Amino acid sequence: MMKHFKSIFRKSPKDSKIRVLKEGGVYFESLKLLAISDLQLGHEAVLHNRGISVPMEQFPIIIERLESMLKETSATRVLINGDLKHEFSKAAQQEWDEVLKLLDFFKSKKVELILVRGNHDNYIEKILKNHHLKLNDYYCEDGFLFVHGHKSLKEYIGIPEFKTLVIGHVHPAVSIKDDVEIPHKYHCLLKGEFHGKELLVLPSISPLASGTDMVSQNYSHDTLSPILNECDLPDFIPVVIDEKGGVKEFPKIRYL
Amino acid sequence: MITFATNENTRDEVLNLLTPSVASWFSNFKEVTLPQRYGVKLIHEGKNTLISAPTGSGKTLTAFLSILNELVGLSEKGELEERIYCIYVSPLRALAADIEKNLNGPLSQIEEIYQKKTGKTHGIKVAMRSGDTTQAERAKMVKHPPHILITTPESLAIILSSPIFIENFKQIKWLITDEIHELASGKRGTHLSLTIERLQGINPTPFVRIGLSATIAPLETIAEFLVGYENNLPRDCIIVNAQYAKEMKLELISPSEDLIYTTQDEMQKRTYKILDELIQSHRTTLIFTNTRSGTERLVHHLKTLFPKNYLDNIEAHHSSLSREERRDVENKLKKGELKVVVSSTSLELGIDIGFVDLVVQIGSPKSVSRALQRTGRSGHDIYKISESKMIATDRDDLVEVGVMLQEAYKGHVDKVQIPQNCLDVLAQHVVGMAIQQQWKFDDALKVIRQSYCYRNLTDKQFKSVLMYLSGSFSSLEKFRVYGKIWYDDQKQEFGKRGKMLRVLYATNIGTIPDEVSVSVRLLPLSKHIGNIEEEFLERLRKGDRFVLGGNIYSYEYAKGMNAYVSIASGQKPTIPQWFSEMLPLSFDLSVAISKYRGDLSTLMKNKSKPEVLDFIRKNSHCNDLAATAIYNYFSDQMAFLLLLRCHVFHSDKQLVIEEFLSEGKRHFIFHSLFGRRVNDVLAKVLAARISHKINRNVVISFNDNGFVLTMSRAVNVEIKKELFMITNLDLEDQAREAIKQTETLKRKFRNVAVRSLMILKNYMGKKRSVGRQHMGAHVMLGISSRLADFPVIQETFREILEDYMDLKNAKLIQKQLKDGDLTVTALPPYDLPSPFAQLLITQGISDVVLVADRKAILEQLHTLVLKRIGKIKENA
Repeated sequence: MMKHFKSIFRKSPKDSKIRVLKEGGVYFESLKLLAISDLQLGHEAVLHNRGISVPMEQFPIIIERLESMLKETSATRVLINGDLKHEFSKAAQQEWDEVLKLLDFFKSKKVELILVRGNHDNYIEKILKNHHLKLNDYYCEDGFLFVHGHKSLKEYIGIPEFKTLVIGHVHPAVSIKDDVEIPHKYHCLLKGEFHGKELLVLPSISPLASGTDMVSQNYSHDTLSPILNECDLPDFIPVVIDEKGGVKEFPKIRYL
Repeated sequence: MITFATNENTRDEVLNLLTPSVASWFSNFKEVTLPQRYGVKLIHEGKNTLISAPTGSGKTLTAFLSILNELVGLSEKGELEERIYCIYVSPLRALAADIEKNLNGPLSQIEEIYQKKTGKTHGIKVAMRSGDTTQAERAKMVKHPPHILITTPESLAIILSSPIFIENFKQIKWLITDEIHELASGKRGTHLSLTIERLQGINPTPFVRIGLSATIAPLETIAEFLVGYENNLPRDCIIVNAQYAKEMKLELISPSEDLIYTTQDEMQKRTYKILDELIQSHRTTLIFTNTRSGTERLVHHLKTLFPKNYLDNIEAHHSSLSREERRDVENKLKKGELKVVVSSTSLELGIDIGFVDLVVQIGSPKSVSRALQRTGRSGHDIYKISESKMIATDRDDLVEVGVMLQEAYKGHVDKVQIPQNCLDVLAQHVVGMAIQQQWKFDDALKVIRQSYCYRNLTDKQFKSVLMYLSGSFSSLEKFRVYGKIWYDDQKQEFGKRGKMLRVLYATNIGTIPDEVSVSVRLLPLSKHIGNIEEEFLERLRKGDRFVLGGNIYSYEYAKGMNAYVSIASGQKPTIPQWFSEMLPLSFDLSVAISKYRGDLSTLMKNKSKPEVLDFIRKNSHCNDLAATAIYNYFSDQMAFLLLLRCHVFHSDKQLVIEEFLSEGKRHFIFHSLFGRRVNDVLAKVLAARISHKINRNVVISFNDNGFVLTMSRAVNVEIKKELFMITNLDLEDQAREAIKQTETLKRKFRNVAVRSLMILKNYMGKKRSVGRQHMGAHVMLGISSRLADFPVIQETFREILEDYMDLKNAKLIQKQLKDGDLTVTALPPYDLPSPFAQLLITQGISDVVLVADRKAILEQLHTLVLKRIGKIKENA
């Protein structure tokens, strides 16, 4: 029995030195790099235009989370793995404001910013250019390959060799049932295998993201990542995050 | 002042009030009914009047007679203007349609009398406006308004913010609110109360308010709800109490003399046999089952068990059927084409259903007023007796209905609870008011406080609503453009913002949350086999098994508004029924049952069995089997208590706590018969306290008769001490804390957010699915909770604590515990639950109170998953 449990948790030799933070970021120690994903800035304005008047509280929450994560780690760099902002088409007023304020925030913290392009990041390059920032299709360093995850790897040109692939896009979450069968949903980081290599799926750092439940599988495969569609999802390990409850690694999805 | 009518008029006195043509028409009635003898003159004199009387006692005519008389009088003098004199509001569209017909009949008869005499016509027009009214009809009404407008609460609110229509609403003389007992206890009534005060606000002179109500208590409160407040005092109103104008006969039937040992099959067989006999010996029977699923089941079983008796002459009627289907059933009933109709609760209200001569109620209707309301649906004629047979479904039900009949015959009726200061409904009206005109803070508040439901609204609460609607809660000033209104805190003024607001308001008005049902389809052919609530679907995962229409299905996947399943017969369901469709037991009746438990046990100790049986039979108006079953149930419980050396018995003064040990579990069973709404509060607060202490989750389950706290057998708790600890706490604070992590909070938040127009159901011509609404809701709940005094959050908590739960009466029990008016006895541990506890243990609604520490929750879920994996491996 115990042996079996151990096998569920035993770290594979391919495991990298990473730290999952309860606020939703992942710290890559060897790179001194904090990776976050799917901020979806400006989401509220879009919701308003759809008739949902959510209070404009997302940005201050994200800043709070970043402050706390920078304090907890010795990160000198922050990588945003796509979907910095929300709106697909032209950038709305709120987005402009908040993106600029976020860039100012990083400047004031003296951290270097690395940006990876997501499917929501159109029309943003102009803002970034003024700040001498580049929007990368992917970013690779020391065997870690960061892509947003909305496209298959085949669609990229000149992808370098890597040992760990890091994506976002999916907003992964798991729901776990309690004693009386009531499910509790948590955002999580997913760890699994992609064609024999390690794959990490970053949670969304946005407080407006409700999360895609990997357990109930009520999602549609078209909206999931083409990269994940090539994997055996039930074999993935969720590392559950909760801002007040901390971080906890759970058994594979198939056991939830 | 609120007073009761004391002046009864004779038939001649009533006739003397009327103009000749109306008098000549009215004299066709042999007799003037009780409400008419008291009420017609009052309305004639222009007094605000509340008439409480059973259906079929002529109360609608009481309300209209003086009005028709006056309009006829004006017409005959040539003074009738083309404008609205009278508004009649009904909670049901179908009822409104009936009234239109029932007014046009008499009007044409009166006109005929007049025409014969003078050759002239009256030309009094009645028209109905509801959500179904076409654009063309509405336009016609603006040009040529009817004299009497029949409408629903929602349509009336829309009219109020329509600038062209409103011109016709400035000289209203009478306003009639029908089924006011039904409206007052819910948010639709709250909404209507504000609409009426706003309507009064645009009328230079006060209109006469007339309320029609079935049996309810206290009538004084309903009267205040009807007439509202002025200068902090209720306006004048005279109450006509004719609740006993009609003779009623109720009888309790038990299918067996022993409801513990009779098998489910045997019970079913006997129940259906009784039902068939009752139906066959009456002309038309109306059966109430409380739940929709029960309705379907009953029709199905009657058809299969007695195929010769039931074919085309039986129909089901419940809220899941389309409006056309329901209308069809109602028409068949009216035409006398049905032998029996089975309804959940939908036929309780006053639509005319023709010649029903027997009402059967299966299972407890949960309140005396509901039992009487349903009974009144039979013998729909003042001269006929209303008759109702109540069939008990289990032993707790039997005792409950037994006491209900005792109370009904004593004339004790449950007290109504009217929601107060609902900020979501207020938000909707503030938008409506802003559309109407620009307001000063104080002027608006004055209008709002005229409603009974908002007479105690604070300046601060009102301001929070204005801040919310104007987007001022946002930390970023410039995003106030997203506000629905503008609010100037300096000038203390507010008004509308944006051109779209009127459309948005008109398409999102109302207080009834959408209950969207998902169609369940059986694979591989995708045949439709029934519906489930969307909320239920959200909890399903692939492979989960659940019961639908008596069969077990395994959930496969969902697409849009369809859930696909496969047959899983022979396997046990994995999903328990969380969503109880059951009505909660009224507090007054709960206390009466608690008291009855004590009284009966004393009687059993002091009197012979035949004497006690005789008492039960007479007191509860029941058959011999029922009396024996109650007796047996009580003597079994007494034997159990004696076995544990307990010499006291359950009563309204004695709370017994049982400690039942099962496999690895310790269950504390509180026999707190105070109703589910009170038990919900007590159980959650106590469980939160204990879980905090033992640092583990506590599972609670509760029903109307009590609650159970279940924990690991390894921990021990001094339960009596813990119970007394909560008597010193602020129950409201504790309850708020305890519901923070519940599903109920998320669900209610969504409804409140929709009512507050935070989430728009209809926007820019698109209807949002409830799934979309919900997806955002838990996220929005999290974000909004950061803002102190955010009215949408405040209202969600208020609704849960005051309307869904019953904090007020929970506090009352807390006080009784503290003052020693309620004694507590804790029984020693035992490995069997008592007879009184068995249904509670097996059928209570379950919930888990999580330890407040989020870290501990994660740990526990983790352990739970490991345990489950362990089980999987062991079985393999």
